[in-house]
Amino acid sequence: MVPDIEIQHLSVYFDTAQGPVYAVNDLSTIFRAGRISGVIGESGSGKSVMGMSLLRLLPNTARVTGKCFFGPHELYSMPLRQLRKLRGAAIGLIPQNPGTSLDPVMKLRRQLTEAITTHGKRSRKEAEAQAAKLLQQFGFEEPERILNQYSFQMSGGMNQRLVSALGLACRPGWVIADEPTKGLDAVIRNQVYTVLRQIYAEHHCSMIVITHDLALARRLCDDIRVLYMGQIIEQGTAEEVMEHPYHPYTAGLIYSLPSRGMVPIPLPDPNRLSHSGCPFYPRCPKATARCGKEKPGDYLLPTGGKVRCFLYE
Amino acid sequence: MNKVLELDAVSRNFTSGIFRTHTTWAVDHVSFTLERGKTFGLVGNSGCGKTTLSRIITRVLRPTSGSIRFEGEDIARLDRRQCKTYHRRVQIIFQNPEASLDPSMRIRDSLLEAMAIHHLGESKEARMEKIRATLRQVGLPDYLLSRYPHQISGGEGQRLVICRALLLEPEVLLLDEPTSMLDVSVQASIMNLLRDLQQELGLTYLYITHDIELLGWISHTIGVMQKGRLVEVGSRDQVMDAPVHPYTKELLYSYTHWEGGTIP
Repeated sequence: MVPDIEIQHLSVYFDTAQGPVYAVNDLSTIFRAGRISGVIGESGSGKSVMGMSLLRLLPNTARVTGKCFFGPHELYSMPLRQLRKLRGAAIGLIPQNPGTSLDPVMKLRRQLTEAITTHGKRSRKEAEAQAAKLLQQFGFEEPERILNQYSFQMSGGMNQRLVSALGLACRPGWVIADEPTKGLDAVIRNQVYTVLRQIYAEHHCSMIVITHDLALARRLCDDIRVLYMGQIIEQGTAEEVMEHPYHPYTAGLIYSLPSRGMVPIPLPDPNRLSHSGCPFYPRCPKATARCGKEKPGDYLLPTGGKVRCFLYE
Repeated sequence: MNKVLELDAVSRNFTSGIFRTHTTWAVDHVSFTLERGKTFGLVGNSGCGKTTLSRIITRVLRPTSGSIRFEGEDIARLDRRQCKTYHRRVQIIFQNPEASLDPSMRIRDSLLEAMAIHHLGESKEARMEKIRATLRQVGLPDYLLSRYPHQISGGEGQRLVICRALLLEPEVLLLDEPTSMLDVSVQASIMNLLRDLQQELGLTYLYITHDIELLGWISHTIGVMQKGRLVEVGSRDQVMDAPVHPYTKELLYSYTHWEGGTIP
């Protein structure tokens, strides 16, 4: 039985000369097992930091408060040795930038078998056979040839499939995919989508997909969380969030898609910059005086979703 | 003159290997015309030769065969002085704004340098005046001038690069995936800016991208490239609504249909 991942009041901040900068700000949520949960938001919204914090893979300068539960285990009070047994084996990671996530001076054979032998007691031969099988599943027709090559000999789409294979080498119950389609063209993006769908269907993996690709999120995910300045401002099923967005920010994001009219979100109003209310207040087209003074809470929607905006109080 | 830039059967190959040479035609007999004040959109997937073509147009690479005429003049035959003018009038905007700005220079100096190289503006004062006016035109605040490139966001960076190009009073902008590194909301604001600038200044665009939806929004004419060849050229409506070539159909299809993605 694969457990849920639960985040309780997680804050991640970085100390700078101008004071602490919050990447994730008092975030609480539960990622349900057996579902594909999407996390969308712009760059700098904290979505990748949130994903990495679930594996405790943040840079040393990051300061973390709050708790992350993987079933009964609290990840931040767990000894590192125990955590290492979870990483890769129970929670797999498909990192951003596949090109730079692979070692350029190590043959793919070694990288793939290493991922397999780290967690299971297998001989090198068995691991190699498994690696070849894995590659075949990911659409490589000649795994033996690929295993003898290096990552720089692969195309962008192939590297993306390779890191996906690496993330799934130990058949983890959970997978965190960080920007799996960043910078890919439509055809390769479709391939990645197919691979992720396949993983979900064949391995019954639970997934957290972090992306700024709204079309991918709509197609792939069961439910979507919208992140803005380190907070979840809207949450609901993929269909609800993408077709009937409630929060003005989500609506702005969706209407800036080329297929939805390409209307940009307004730039921050300089008169509204110093405020103590909703983080979206300076850019919000529907803001009232109250939004600049009070922080909205999470309001339940009739559809079962949640939104952090006074409009739906 | 309505034709600004004319490409006539432009080709470029690359060879590799010593004993067994292997030749790749990155660009293969590509011909099209940029009309003044209009946008020509070039679409194709990674590796189809779009960027090689933009390098040929900017004279970074020489074509193996074929010719490019700018306002009727063959760009391969320009002398040093004409060449400098050509480089001023045909500006290029790259994908990554951060890599287009010198990290050790303040924004102000990056902008001033471009003008100084082309001897634009009477004095430093006059140049600064022009810079401030152009910054307003692209929607940026003055205080960015004293910043370094690492202190600004991606959207601001791309606006600055556009600003720097505009300072040189260009006629043609080559836009090589200018928004692929940006978020959708920032992309929308840059695309709107580009459209406004075209209307105000009568600029001619060559917009290169793999996103056919974006092209549908900004282009007047669309060309589709596959493996170095231009397989279809037509008006925006014709290419988007009634594509003829199977590859164009596939490109449009892969944007709207997800399940069809097959692994080669």
